[in-house]
Amino acid sequence: MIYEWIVVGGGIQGCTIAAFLMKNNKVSASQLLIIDPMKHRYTVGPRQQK
Amino acid sequence: MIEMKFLRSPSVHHLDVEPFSLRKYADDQNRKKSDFYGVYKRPSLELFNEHSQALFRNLNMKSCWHQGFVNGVDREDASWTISTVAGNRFKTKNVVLALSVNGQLNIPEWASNLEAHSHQLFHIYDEAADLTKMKPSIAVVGGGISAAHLVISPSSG
Repeated sequence: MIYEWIVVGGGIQGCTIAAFLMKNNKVSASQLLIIDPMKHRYTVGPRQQK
Repeated sequence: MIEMKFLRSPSVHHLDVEPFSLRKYADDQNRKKSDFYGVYKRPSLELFNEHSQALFRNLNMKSCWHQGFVNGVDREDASWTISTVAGNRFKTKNVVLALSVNGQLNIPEWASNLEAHSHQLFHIYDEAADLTKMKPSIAVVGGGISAAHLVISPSSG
């Protein structure tokens, strides 16, 4: 498949742009991929190593 | 190295689209007034994190998540191919690089030379650094808001 959008980095900025794209109907969840070294989460603060 | 009970930015800065999303979330959750600080209504870290997690859940961002380390972005025909260290390849029409602050600390060359010869040089995002164990004199290179935030703690403690 070909994704519509891929966001490299799932930190604050990456998640903000992902939310923006989805909420403005630019992309559906199935056409969007967020790639990040960490397991998904969302909290601000020191990142935990996997 | 630096901690904060309340974020440094006003409540309109968060992950959601609508500026007052965080304020509305706090109202809906019957959060106390003490979850916001000062004139600019800076949110508590705890509230900010809960709001972020709620957004994450509502949009089911978990389903969009791939755990991996990107090591290549290549243009192929009319699309981009994103490669990861684990060998995954994903094709996409559009790419956003949202790398920002991450595990790869930007240490200038002059500093990395110093670092090799002592254990007295730290990056502000170095998780191994313990400010409470540092002894004066201490020099902070950089004069932005994080530098100011950093020096408050040893000077007041």
